[in-house]
Amino acid sequence: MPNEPAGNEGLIDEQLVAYLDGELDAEGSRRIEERLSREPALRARLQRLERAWGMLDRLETPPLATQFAQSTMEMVAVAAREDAEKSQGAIPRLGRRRWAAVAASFAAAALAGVLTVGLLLPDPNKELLRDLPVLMNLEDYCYKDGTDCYWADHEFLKRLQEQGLFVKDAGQAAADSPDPPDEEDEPIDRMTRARRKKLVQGMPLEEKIRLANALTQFQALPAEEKEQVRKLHEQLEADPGLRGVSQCYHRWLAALPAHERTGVLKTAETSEQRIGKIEELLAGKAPPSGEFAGPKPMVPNFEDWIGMMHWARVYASRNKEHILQMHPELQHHFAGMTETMKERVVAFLTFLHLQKLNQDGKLNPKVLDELRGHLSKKTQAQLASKSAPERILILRNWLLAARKRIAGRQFLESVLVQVDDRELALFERKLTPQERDQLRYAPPEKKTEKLRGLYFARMIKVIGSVAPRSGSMGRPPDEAPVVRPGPGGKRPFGHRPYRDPGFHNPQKLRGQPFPLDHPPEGKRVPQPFEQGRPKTDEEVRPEFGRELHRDFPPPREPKRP
Amino acid sequence: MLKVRDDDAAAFEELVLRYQERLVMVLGHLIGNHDQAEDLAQDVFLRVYRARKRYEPGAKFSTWLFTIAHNVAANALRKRSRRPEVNLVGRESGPLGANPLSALLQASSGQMPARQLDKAEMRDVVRMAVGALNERQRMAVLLSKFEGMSYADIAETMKLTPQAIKSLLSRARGNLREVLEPYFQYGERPAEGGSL
Repeated sequence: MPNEPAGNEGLIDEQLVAYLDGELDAEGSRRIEERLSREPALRARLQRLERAWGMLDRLETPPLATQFAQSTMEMVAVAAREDAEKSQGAIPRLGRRRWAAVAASFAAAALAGVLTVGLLLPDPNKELLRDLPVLMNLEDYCYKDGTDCYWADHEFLKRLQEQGLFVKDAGQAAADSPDPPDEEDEPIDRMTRARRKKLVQGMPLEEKIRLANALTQFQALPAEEKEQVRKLHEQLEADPGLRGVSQCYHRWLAALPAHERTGVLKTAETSEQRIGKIEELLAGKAPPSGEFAGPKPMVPNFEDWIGMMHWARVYASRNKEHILQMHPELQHHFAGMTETMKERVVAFLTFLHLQKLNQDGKLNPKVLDELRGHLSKKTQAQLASKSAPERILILRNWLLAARKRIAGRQFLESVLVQVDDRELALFERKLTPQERDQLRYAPPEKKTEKLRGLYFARMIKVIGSVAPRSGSMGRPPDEAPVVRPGPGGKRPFGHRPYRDPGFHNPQKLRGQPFPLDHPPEGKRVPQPFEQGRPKTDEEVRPEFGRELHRDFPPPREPKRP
Repeated sequence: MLKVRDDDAAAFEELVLRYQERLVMVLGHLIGNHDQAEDLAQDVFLRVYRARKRYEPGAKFSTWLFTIAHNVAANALRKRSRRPEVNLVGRESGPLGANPLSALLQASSGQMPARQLDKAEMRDVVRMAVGALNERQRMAVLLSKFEGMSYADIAETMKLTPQAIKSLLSRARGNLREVLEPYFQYGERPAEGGSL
C-alpha cells in the first residue's frame, strides 16, 4: 500500500489475517473495519489474502488405505502385549492381570489380529523381511508333538527320499497343484525388501497372524538353530523333490494319532529306527474307503453349502450350452419351466456333472480353486493355510458329500433353492392340466404349500429323468398319472397316482443314492425310452472335446487307495 | 479419550476412525509424502496409546494429538534432511514440469505462459506454494485452515505463544498470497482443453 512504511506492511498484514481468522478483539476489529471502509487498497489487500487462503481448498489428499484403522489397532494390540510382557516382573499380580486384559481387548478390537509392529511401522523389522522365505515355510520345518517342536533334518529327509518313502505322494501333490508357478512370479527369496514388505502388507489377516507366530517362534531360537533352519530352507529350495517329500512327511506325521507320532519322533532313537517305524506304520495304514486319500477333510458350514450351489450356478451360466447339449431330452421340459427354474435345473445338472468328473478323478483343480472363492470367508481363510494338495483333497471330499445331501428334497427346498412368491406365480402359469387339478383340490390355506411342492416335484422329476433308473425317482417324464382324485372322485382308469417320494415322504429320499448315479460297471440299466436317452460323456466328448475340456481338462489320474 | 485412558479398546478404535483422515492429511502436506504420512500417522496413534495415562481431562484431545503429530513430523523431516538421497529431481510427471518451484517463481515474476491451468495443475501450484513455506509456517497454516484451530490452540500445539502464532500465520499467508496471486486470474480450464 503506497502510504504505509515498508515495516508497517507486515503489521497491517498481521491485523488483516487476525481479522480474517476472528482473532482480533472488539476494539481491534472496529479499527480495521474503519480503515477498510476508507481505503480501497486495504480492501483489495484483504481480498487477495482471502483468495489465496481459499485456494488451499484445492489441496487434496489421496484416500487412506482401506485397512488403515485395522492395521493401527493390530499395531497397538502388539504394543499392549509387549507392555504387558515388559511389566510382568514389575507389577503386582492384579496389575499384571489388567495389562493382560488390556492386551486382549485391543487384540479383540483388531479382530483378534496380532501383528508384529515391524510389518507396519515406517522402519520395518529387518529380521522379518530378511527371513521372510524361511518364516513362510517354518510350519513345514517344525514337526510338532504336543508342545515340543522337532526341526526337520536334511540328512533324514534324504534318507526318506532314498528309501522311496513319501516320494510318490510328493509327485502326486505336485501334479495336483492348481497353481503351477507362473514364469513371471518372483520367488520370495529373490524379492527386494520393499517387495517383501508390500507382499506382507497385502496378506490377509489370517496369514499375517501365522507369519507373526512364525516370527515369534523363530526369534526365540538360539542363533545356531536359526542358522540351521535357514540352511535347511536353502537346501529344500534347491531340491523341490526333497521339499515335496518333507511336506508329505510332515502332513503324514500331523495326521498320526498322538502315540504313534511320539513313537516316530521321540521313541525312535536313530534314523534307522525311525525309518523302520515309519515303514511299519505306512504298511499298516490305509485311508478310509470311499474317500480320497489325504488328510481328514474340514467340515463345510451352512454358508459353504450355499456357496457351492452358487458356484454351480455361476459355472452353469458359463457352460449352459454344453450342459444342455448333453441332455437333449430336457429340451421339451424347458417349455414348461420358468427361467429361474431352468437356471436352477441347469445348475444342478452342472453340479452333478462336476461331481461325476470329481468321482472319476477327472476334475481340473482349477475348477476347485474357483469353488474356493465361493465359500465362506472363514473357510477360505482356513483353506488358505493349507497346502494346495490338501485343499484339493478337502474340496473333492466336500463335493462327494454334497452329492448325497443334494438328493434330499427337504434340503433342496429349505436350504438351497429359495422360491419366492413371484417365482411361484410365474410357475403357476406353467402348470400342466394335471398339476392344476392337484392345486384346485388343495385347501385354500394350503395352496401356496401345494404350489411349492409341485415346483420341487417338477424339478426333481426333470433332474431324475436325465438318467432313468429303477425306482420311483427314475420315472420317465412322459408317464402320466399326475392326477389326484378329488373328494368323492374316482381315480381315472388306467392311471396310477404319481408319487414323488420326495413330496409325499421326504424320509424316503434321505440316504438314497442320487438318481444320476451311473450303474455299476458291466450292468446296464434298461432305458425305457431310447429317444430321450442322455448322451454319455464319451459320446459328447468327441463332438465337444475341445470346448468341454476347456473347463474340464482331465488331469492325471489320482492315486486311488 | 478418558475411556482410552482407562484402556477401553473400542474407544481407541473410535478415536482412530475419527481422526485418521485429518491426521494423515495434515501430516501428508507437512512432510510432502502421503505414503510416509500414513506410517507417521500410525506412529502418532501408537504414541497416543502409550501416553494415554498422561492425558489431562481438561485438555483438548485434538490439540494433544496434533502436538504429537508435530513432533513426529519434525523428527521425520529432520531425519530426511540428514539423508543424502534427497530427491533433487522434481516431479517429472507433474503438470508444472520437473521444477515446479521455478515455475511458481516464474509466475510471480509475471513470466508465466498465458494460458489457463487445469485442475491438476492448480492443485499442484497450491501444493507447491504450501510446500514452499517453512515447516513452522506450514504447520500453523494447516492447523488453522484444516483443523480450524484458534491461535491459542495452535500455540499450545506448537509450543509457542499466541503472538508468535499470529506473526507466523501472517507471514505464511503473506507468502501464499505472493506466490498464488498470479494464478488468481487463471482459474481452471476443463481437462480436455488448452495446451502450451
